[in-house]
Amino acid sequence: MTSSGDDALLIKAFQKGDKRAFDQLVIRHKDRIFNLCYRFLGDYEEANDSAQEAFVKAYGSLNTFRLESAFSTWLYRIAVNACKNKLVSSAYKAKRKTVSLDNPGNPSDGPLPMEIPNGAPSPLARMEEKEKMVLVQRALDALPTEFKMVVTLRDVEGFSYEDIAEITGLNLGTVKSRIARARTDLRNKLRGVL
Amino acid sequence: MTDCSEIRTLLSEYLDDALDAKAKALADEHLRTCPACREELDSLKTLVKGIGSLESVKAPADFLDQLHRRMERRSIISAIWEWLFYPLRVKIPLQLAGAAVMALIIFSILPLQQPSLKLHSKPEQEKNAEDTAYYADESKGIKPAGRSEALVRKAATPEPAKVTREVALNLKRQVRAKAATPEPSAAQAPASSAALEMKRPKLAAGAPAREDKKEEALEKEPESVLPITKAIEAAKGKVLSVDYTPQTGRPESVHAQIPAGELTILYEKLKELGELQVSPETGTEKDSDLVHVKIRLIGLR
Repeated sequence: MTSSGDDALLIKAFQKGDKRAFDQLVIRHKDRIFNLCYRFLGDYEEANDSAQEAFVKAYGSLNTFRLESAFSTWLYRIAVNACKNKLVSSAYKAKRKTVSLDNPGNPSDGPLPMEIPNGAPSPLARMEEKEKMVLVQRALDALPTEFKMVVTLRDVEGFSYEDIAEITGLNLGTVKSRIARARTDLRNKLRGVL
Repeated sequence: MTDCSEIRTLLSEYLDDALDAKAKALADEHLRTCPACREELDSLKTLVKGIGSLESVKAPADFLDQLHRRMERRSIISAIWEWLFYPLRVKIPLQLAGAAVMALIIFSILPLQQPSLKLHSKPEQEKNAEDTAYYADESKGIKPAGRSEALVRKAATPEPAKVTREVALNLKRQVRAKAATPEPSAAQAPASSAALEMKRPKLAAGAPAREDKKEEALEKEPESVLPITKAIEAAKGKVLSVDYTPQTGRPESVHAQIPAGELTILYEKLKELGELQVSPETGTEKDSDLVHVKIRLIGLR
């Protein structure tokens, strides 16, 4: 777990010229940022690319960062923007094929997520749990970007409504209504799974 | 009793404990008595727990190394970018300096060229006088012969007169008679005077009978501006042009250029030729300044 006090010390050191302090900030936040990007994009490589891009941008702007706001909120905002840019990039769109739970697509695309792969050696309970998680992730992926963003920040990353409003630049009312709408949508899609 | 659909819109915030006290109390009251909404709330809790239990995905072990490589690449790219555009930082000020130097050169050369430009541009007063004469001639349907040559010669004059004086000369009868007599000195008249005499306008075509009569009249009284041109030359002046009356072909006025200091001499000489009417002088020109004098000939019309 990171503390904002440690972040502030590292930021001050960086701003005084100690560039290695940035490495410490990366080590402290890389997993959370990576996880956010992964939940947001649903693709490991793309998540890695976006998370790195977020840190590169943070490195470029850290000298102008003021310690009035939390570093993690500021860093998440950069990461969310990096993910949004990735989502609209043509390369990502070409690579990514969204699978809807309502319309899983052509059977030739592969077995349905609920189906157990042939010859799987894992115990059934573990398999079911794993499959549940796959379905949850796919349900998240199927959400429209604006809903996926807020519900990921709230239910995956555990940010408060106020922090989410700051990270996304949305007003508080919009954050609340979008989270409620996203949850309703997810519950409808995952009924019988969760 | 509160409507279930209304309560269900509050369940997400209820779950996060984000409702205000009034809304929370309302939801609590409803949930106590409505098993369907309680079930909905439980379902929502399970969902949130399920999302939250998603296994955290960790960044690759070499994430920091990858980041370093990416930043290094980025700095190389930005260095190349800077290298490509660095000359612009030098070029732009250089180009601006060059433009400034060019502007300085142009503005310093331009005044040197102005004297030659002035040759083609006439003083306003002179131009007005010429325009008046020209349009007067045009309105009479006859273009004065030799006018263009006179103007060309005038344009070649290095320093055109800036002030115009107009005098009226009523030639004495004897002078006219004298003028009518061919003078032996006429042969030694200045080339300009001779040339001006040659530019006497021909009468307009279309009245051959009248033309013969005019020619006859001219032979009887071949008025010459020679005494006047002599007076001008005596005053160190120069004849610019002579206007002729189109109907009679007789001299109407003589345009000359005289140094201001010689005007008195010119007037004296002209008084010898006839009655001279001079308008009061208001000019403040120096003696060396050239003055454009228009001598209107009254007696010869």
